[in-house]
This record gives sequence, C-alpha cells and structure tokens, in this order.
Amino acid sequence: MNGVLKTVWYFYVGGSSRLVLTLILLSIVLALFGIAAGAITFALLAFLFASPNSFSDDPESRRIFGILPVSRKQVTVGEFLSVGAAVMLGQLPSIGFLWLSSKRLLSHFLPEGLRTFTESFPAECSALSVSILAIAASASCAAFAFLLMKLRIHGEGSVIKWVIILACLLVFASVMLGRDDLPEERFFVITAVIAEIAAVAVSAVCCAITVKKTAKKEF
Amino acid sequence: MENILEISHLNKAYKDFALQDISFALPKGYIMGFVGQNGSGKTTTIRSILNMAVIDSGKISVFGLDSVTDSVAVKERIGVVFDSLYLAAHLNVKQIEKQISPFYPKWDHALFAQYIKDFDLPDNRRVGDFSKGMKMKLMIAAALSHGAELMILDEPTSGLDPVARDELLDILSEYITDENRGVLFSTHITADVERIADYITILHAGKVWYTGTKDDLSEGFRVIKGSEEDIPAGLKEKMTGFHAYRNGFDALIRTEDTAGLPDSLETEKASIDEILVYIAKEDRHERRA
Repeated sequence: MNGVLKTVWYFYVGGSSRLVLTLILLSIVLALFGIAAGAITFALLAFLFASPNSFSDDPESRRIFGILPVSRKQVTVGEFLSVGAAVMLGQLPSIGFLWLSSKRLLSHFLPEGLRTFTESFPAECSALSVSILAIAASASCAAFAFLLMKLRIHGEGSVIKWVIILACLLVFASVMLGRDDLPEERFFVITAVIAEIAAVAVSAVCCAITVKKTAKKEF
Repeated sequence: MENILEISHLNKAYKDFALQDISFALPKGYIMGFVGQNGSGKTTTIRSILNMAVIDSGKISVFGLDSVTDSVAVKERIGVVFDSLYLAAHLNVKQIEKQISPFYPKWDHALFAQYIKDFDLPDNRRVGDFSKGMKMKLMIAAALSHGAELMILDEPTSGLDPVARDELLDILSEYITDENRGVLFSTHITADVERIADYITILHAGKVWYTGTKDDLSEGFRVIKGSEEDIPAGLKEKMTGFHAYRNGFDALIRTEDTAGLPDSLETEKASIDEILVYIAKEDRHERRA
C-alpha cells in the first residue's frame, strides 16, 4: 500500500462512527415510508460525515500527518481522494434508497395527512431521478474539492460555507425530485454524465493546485 | 561513536522567533535531555527534525539519512510522543491501531497488544476520554510497536502526576538498554533530565547555550556568591545572570574561571535548574553595577 492509499485508509477508519450507521439506518427507515428526498439527503450526509477529519481546520488533528511516514503530497492526494470518493460513492446507496422509496413498503402505516404528504413526492427510481441525483452529487463533489483546496491553502475555516452550499444543493435535488413537470429525460441523463466527468476534473485540478501550494506548508 | 541524530547549523525564522545556528548530535545508545525555557525553541527544533517545520538552512541527519529528502524512511524508524494526543480522539485503541499500523512496515500487533495490556489501557473506550497519563502511554505504545530506533518526546511529563512521570522515565531507561537506539527528550522539568539523561542540550532564545554530557555540564559550571567588592577585575564580565542585592551578589560562572578566586567568594556546584535560572536572569538584564 503506498502513502496515498494509507492516507485514504486512515480517513476511512477514522470515519467509521456510530453517527454514520445511525444516519444510514434513518435513511433506510425514511425510504421504507416512501420519503425519497429525505433518504437521499441522509445518505449524502452519511457519507460526508464519513470523513470527519477532512474538513477540519484544527491544526491538532493534522499534526498526525507530520508524524506518520507519509509525504505532504501523499497526504493531500489521499485527502482529496477520500472526500471525492465519499461524495461520489454516496450516490450508490442514495439510488438504493430511491428505489426502496418507490416501493412505499411501509407508507400505509403512516397517518392519513402524512401519507398524502409523502405521496406528493414521485419517489420514482427512473433514469430521470437517478440523473438528477447524479448532477447534485457531482456538483457537491466539485464544491467540496474547491472548498477543501481553499481550506488547505489559506487555512480558512470554511465549515459554515460548505454547510450552506451543501444545504442548497440538497434542497435543489429534493425540489427537482418532487416536480412532475420535469423536462425531457435524455437532457438530464446527458447532463449527469457531463457533470460526473466535470466533477472528477474539477477535483483533480483542485488537488493538483493544493499539492503545489502546500508543498512547503508546515504541520 | 556513531550519531543517531545530527543537527548542523539549523536556521529557521518565524515572524517573532528564530532558531539560530542550532548544532548538536546525539550518539547511539544514549538519552539526551533537551531543556530550555518555554519558547526557547525546543518544539520548533523537534518539528524541524520531523520535517513538520520547513527549515531555512542547515542539515538534519537521522540514522545518516537526510530528514527532508528521506523524510518517509526516517519517520518509519522514529517514535514520537507529544505533550498532547495527536491520535484520533474519537476512536478507541483497536481502531487507532487499525488506522495507523499500515503506515509502519515493522508494526508488531502482538507487541502493541502487550503494551496496551501492560499499561492497563482499556481498548473499548474513546481515547479522547483517557487521562493525560493514559494518552501518553498510548502514544508510547504506538511509538514502541513499530520498532522505533529513535524516540523523540516533546514535554511528555508536563502535567503528569509523579507516578506516571516515574513510569515514563522507567520505560525510557528500559528502552535505551538496546545500544542501537536513542532518545531525545524535551522538557522543562530538569529533575527528569537529572535522573535519566546522559547528554544535555540547553536552548536559550533560539540558540544552543550548551550541548554535551550531563557530567561535563555539572562539572563545568558553578554558582558564585559573595560581596561585590571582592570580585577580581574582569571576572564580572565572565559571569552569567549576575544578581546584586543588598548584602552581596550571586551569579553563574564557568568552573575554569574560578581559579584564583579570593577566599571571600564562595562557589558551589550548579544544578541544571540553577543554570536555567541564571541564563534567564542574564536575559532579563539583571546585571547591575
């Protein structure tokens, strides 16, 4: 295992927390009741929380990388990979939750009013809804890569900013999933593919800039 | 004697502080106490050795390797203990091992488990909830479980109770029985240094004030006391931390400068604590005519 993979492993082990499990379980429960938007929100959040160290601007939590036998470059690349993978891979369980929601397995247990509310969400696991989900996830991935770059280069505590951006993206995704008058499906599928590629490209560029700018940064 | 650590003409400047021309060496098989007041540059020097701080000039050699260009290879063979926990506080001992062990090719799981047992550390509790002594022991267990040949400890005993301090010093004494190892131990608790160090480096205001064996230090300096009028001409300038008071003066002086002193001036052996105090007094411009 090289230094980059060891760093990814470091973040992965550090992210395995009870909070992640709780959020995933909550997502499953919401999906069983047919609440797709909530399920997706929680799935994304679960994966974001899976990297608790990634967005930390606390120097104490970064000191370990000055002690472990790993280079600065490997730490930076590993960190971008961890965050990128967490956000992008978060799409997979989200699609699962979307599919589960479409079954509305437990929605008949809900009180009348609440059931009507949840049924107002289409929660359909179609190419269209999956594409919209992919667009939102790609945008999140690019936004996180950009903010991570800003945080590591300038040391800005971007926590509030990224929470706001995340919230906006999730609201966007939820609203779009709830609309009945969405335009043509093909447009969204193509956009989703382009967005995924663009997100990877943006992340790679942000990572390369961060590696260069932080080559002499101290731990 | 082969040096396990060698620092030559290290310079590192920050806005309000600078390490200036730091040079010292630690031979294999010995413990070096690294002492000085708070802010004297001990931690910056240690961070430079670990390549955590980017040095301006000079050379740091560990195991004969360059600490900057061979940083990864060097760190595989170094164990580090800081005064505060650098491991993930939200994980337990088992998770910590899972997290850091892949970084070290020589990681020994059985040895780590043994240390955890010997140190009586619970393996199912968040390490952030550990006491300071327990956190220090965990860092030591991690440092010793990958076959570290050089231990670097930055103020590990500050804030520890006497029992935990004693345990740590015992661990270091046992560790150094292997003559291929070395320990650099920074502290401002000089009693710890008096007890276990073979070599001492004193830093003051970013410069090396003394480096050498503990015995040479204790033989090399004396506290001088008496009446100011009895000081022979030219001797006062050789004193460090000269402090005049109503009935006399006291200061630190090199043993070699005590030859031919009048009987009215007394000298006595200086402890490391006293040496540090006189260095600080010199810095505070307490020299008075």
